[in-house]
Amino acid sequence: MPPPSAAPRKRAPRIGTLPLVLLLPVVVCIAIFYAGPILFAVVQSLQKGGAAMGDPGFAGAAHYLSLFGDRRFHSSAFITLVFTVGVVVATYAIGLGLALLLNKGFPGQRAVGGLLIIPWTMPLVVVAVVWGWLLDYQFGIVNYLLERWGVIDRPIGWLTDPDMALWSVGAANVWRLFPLAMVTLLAALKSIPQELYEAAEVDGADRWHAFLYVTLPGIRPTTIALVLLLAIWAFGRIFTIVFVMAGGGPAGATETLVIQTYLEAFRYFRLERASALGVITLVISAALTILYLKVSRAPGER
Amino acid sequence: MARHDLAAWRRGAATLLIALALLFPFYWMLITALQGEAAVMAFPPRLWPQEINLPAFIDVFRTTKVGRWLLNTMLVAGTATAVVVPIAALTAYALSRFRSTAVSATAVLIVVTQMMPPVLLLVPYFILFRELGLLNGLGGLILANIAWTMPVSAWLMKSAFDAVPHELEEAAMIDGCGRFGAIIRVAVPLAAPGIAAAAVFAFISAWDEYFFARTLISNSDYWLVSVGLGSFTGDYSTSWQHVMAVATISTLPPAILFIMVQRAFIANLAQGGVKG
Repeated sequence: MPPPSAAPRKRAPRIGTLPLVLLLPVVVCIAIFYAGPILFAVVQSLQKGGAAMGDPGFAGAAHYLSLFGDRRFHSSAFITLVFTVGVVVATYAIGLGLALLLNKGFPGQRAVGGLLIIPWTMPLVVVAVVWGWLLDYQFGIVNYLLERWGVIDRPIGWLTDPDMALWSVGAANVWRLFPLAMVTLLAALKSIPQELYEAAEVDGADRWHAFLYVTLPGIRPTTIALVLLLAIWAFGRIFTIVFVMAGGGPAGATETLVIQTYLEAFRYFRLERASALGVITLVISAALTILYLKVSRAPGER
Repeated sequence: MARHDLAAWRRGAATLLIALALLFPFYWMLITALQGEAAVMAFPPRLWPQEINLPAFIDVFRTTKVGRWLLNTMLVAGTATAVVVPIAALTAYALSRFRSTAVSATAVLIVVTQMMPPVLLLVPYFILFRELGLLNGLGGLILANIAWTMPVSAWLMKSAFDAVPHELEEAAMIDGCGRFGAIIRVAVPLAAPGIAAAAVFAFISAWDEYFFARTLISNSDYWLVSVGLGSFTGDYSTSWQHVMAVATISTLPPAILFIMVQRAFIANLAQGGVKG
C-alpha cells in the first residue's frame, strides 16, 4: 500500500464542516472496530484469568511476566523471527530477479509479466491447499519428482517433519507474495533514467558495476519501503496459509506469535493470556509501522 | 541488430521458462481438478493430463456443500462491498481534496489499520459479536467485512479523486451546483474507474477472508467457501481431486474480477494520458 503523502498542487478551498462530515463514517468505523477492540485487549491483558467470563480481577503485568519466562513463547518468538526474515529476503530476491528480467525488453514481455501475477490473484486458502497437495508426503508431486531425479532417496515429510514445516509454509507464502515485490520493483526500475546507465557506460562501468552503482541506488527508497512493508506483513499479518497448511504444528514448529495468540484464545481459552500475546505483537508491529511511515515520507521520494 | 533480436528472444525464452516453473502449483491445481480420481492417484503421477473429466469436476457440488458456500460468500462479499463503496467514496473525496489536521490524522489512522496484526482483534470481536447475537450468522460476517474493508477502500479511492482536476468541480459550483452536487455529478463520475477498481478490491478481500469467517461461524451451512476449503485439510474423506476442484472454483471469481480491474486501471491511465 502506498504511504500517505501530502498531495501537492491543491490550493486549500474554504473548508467548513463538510470534510469532517465526510470523514466521520470511516473515523467511527476505526473507533468501533479497531481502536475500541485494541483498548479492550490491552485492558483484558491486565486482568486475571476468567475475567472475560465476568470475574474481574486486576492481574497487573502477570500475564506478560509469565509469557516472558515461558519457553513456548521464546520458541514462538524465535520461529517468528526466522519466518519473517526468511519470507522477506526470499520474496524480495525473487521479486527483484524477475523485475530485472522483465525490465529488459523481449517479445511477449507483457504476457509473461501478466502470467506471473497469477499467484497474487489466488485466495490464501487456495494457495494453502494447493501447496499442501504438492507437498503431500505420500502422493505429493514434489516428493515424487525429487525421488525420480535422485535428489532424495526417501520421501520428505514437508509438513510433518518439524525441521521442514516452517520452510514449507514459508515457501507457500513467498509464492503468494513475490508478484507484489516484482510489480513494485519493476516500477522502480523503470523510473531510473536511462542516461545514468549511458553515463556509467561512458565511464567504463561493466554491467555488474552499473547494477551496483546505478540500479541499486535507484531502487533504494522503494527497497526500504517494500522490505518494511513485507516485514510488517510477515510478522503480524500472515495467518491463513500457515494455519491451514500446518496449524502451528508439527510440535509447534510453525507456531508464530500470531498462530500462538490464536491457539491461546480459541484452543486453550486463555483469553487474557492471548490478549497479552496480541499486545506484544501489536507493539512490535507498531514500531515497524512508525519506521515505515517515517521512511516513506522521507524527502526526495514520490 | 539481428544479434540484439536474438538476445532478446533468448532472454524472453529464459524468462518464460522461469515463469512457467513458478506457475507449476497453479497448473497442478488445474489438472488435478480436471482429471478423474483414478488419474490423480495414478503412479507414476501424470504430468500431462490424458483425459479431461468434467463430470468428476462438477461432482463436488453433490459431495460437498460448495454450492451453498459460494452463495454465502457472494452474499457476504456483495453486501459488504455495496455498503462500503458509497461511504468510502465520499471519505476518499475528503481525503483527496481537503488539507487539515483532521484529514491527515485520518489518513495516518487508515494506514495504521492496514499494518496492525488482525489477530489482536479476534477476541474482542468474538465477545462483541456474542453480546450482539451476531455469532454464527452471515449478518455478523457482513459487518466484520464492512469494518475490515472500509478504511482501505477509502485509501484506494483517494488516488482516483487525486487524478480528477478540482477546477471541474469549481466550474460546476459556479454554474450553480452546491459542493455536494459537484461531488456527485462531477467528481464521482470522473473517478468512476478508480472507484470501481477499489470496489472490486473490496469484493476480492471479502472473498479471500478466512480469519474471521472461520472464527465467528461454526455451523457449516453458513461457512464461506474459504472456510469450507480450509476444512478439507486433514479430512481424508475428501479426495484431492475434489479439494482441487473446489480450489479452482473459488479461484475463478476473484481472478476474473482481477483481470477486469487491470483493464480499468489501464483505461484510467490512458485517459489521464490523453488529457495531459
